[in-house]
Amino acid sequence: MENPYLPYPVRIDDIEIATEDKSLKTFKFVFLNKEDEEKFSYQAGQFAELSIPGVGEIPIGIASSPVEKGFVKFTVFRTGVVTSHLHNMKVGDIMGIRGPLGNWYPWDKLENKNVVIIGGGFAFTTLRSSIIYMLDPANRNKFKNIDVVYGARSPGMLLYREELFGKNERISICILRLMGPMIQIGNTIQALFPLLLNRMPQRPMKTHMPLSVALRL
Amino acid sequence: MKFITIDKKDWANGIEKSRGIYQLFGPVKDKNEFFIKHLEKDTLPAMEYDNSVMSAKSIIFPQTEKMLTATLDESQEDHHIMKKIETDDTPRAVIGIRPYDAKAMKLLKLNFDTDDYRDPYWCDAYEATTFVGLGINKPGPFDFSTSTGTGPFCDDGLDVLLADLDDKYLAKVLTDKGAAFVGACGFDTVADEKESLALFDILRKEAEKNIASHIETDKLKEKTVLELHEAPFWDDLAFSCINCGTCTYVCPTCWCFDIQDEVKQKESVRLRIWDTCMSPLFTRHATGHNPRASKTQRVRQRFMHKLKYFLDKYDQGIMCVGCGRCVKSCPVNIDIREVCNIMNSYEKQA
Repeated sequence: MENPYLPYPVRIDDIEIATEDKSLKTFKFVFLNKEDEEKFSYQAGQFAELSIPGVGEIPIGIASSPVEKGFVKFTVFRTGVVTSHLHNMKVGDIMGIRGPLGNWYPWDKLENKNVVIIGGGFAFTTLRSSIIYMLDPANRNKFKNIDVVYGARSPGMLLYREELFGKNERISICILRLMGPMIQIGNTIQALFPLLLNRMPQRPMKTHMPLSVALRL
Repeated sequence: MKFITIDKKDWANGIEKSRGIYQLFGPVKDKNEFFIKHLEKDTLPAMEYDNSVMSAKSIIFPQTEKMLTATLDESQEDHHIMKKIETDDTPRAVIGIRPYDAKAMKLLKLNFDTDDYRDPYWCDAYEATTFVGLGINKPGPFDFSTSTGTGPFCDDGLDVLLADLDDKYLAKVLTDKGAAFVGACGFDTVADEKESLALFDILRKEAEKNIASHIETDKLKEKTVLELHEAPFWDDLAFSCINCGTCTYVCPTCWCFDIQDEVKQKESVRLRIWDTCMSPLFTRHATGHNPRASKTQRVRQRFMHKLKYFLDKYDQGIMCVGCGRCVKSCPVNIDIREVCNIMNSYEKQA
């Protein structure tokens, strides 16, 4: 068995600013050794430790999907010592990734069912992984309707906006204010939303105007 | 299993002889207390000790341990690529370890050596070590090991168990590792098995008579996590705690660690360092959010882990071997025996 503490060396291949306020960046990593990519075989929903020698390591949800080959992606919020350091790094820099770690979504139990994905803020990263996984031609017909409800503090804080919500013409999008009336939502969501709204904590909604996207993929 | 008699006149010579193969560790007197340390040449283990301040866990799981290294010098081809630091896993022997400390190692193994992950640092050190235990003839006032599945002459987790018989030791050789160590010392006076077993039995019974404190653990299993978690006694139990973390550092079964990076010049080293769940920093997120912000939550976490979560997860008894170190060392007299009995006897009011 290999040393579980030893990270696989990776190179930063691309850095993308993920939100309007630049507090989140999406890092694309390429493994220095091709065989490490196979060893780092993960499921949508898992996380990994991003490891910067001399600085430290942090657990981050994997944003890329197992069906995307040749790279792994992580979207990271700038908040502490390691994430701040990471935000200052450049394309071409070398660091490490170890994992994958943690659990994943029970894909076999979701087969032949309607799937509703509900996420908020930048915890949406592993849900991107799941969405890409389910939309892959090899997997799409395993699932019935796929509905997504996604909320963020403001439209500019929605992650992967272009990618998930902009380009797909099959998607009916509605951005709705949680406090206001709802428009044009899929059946499942319609049934689900009143329930969801009742369970939402009231406090944060008074200070922010949360925005949500509900769409059928 | 075989029994060997060791005349104390031959003891020092035998121990010195074993240094050809083994690095030796054992109790060493420092001022008025004993610590389990590396035995320098010509130093014999201080076998007359009662109990060491710290447990023997640091022999396998050092307080600070170097794990990985990388160069940050970008002119080097392998810069920022981490490599394992080679560890010294040549044979070592811990002489005079108390039986409950050896049992504690077996409980730690459940965490460090699993089907999914094998911690190479811990496991390699554990496998390289021969545990030569010393039975406790006169257990101290804090010892409650008989109610935690071990005891003063328990041999679980040991390779050799020694009994001190004034002018000689009687050695119960339990494993091949133990036989190799005894062989390396040149101890070869075989004792009669039946007589030796009977003698060990007498010693055990005599020693156990000295153990005055007991805990009840029989009902912990049947209680739900939630009912214990929500029980009303935690605020009272945690009231005097000052979050010093001493209980976790002296505990032979506490295994939590933090991983930190250190940089000297252009060399970075990744270390693991004992951590303590009694500190608010243990769970504080980078965002400032702390899921265990209050002292009560932290104290509850420690006792629930020891006495409930571990029991439920592994079904190997509680994560406490009854050494009594935390009871003795706690500056505000929080007593795991009392906590355990309160948890065990707790009945939720309808």
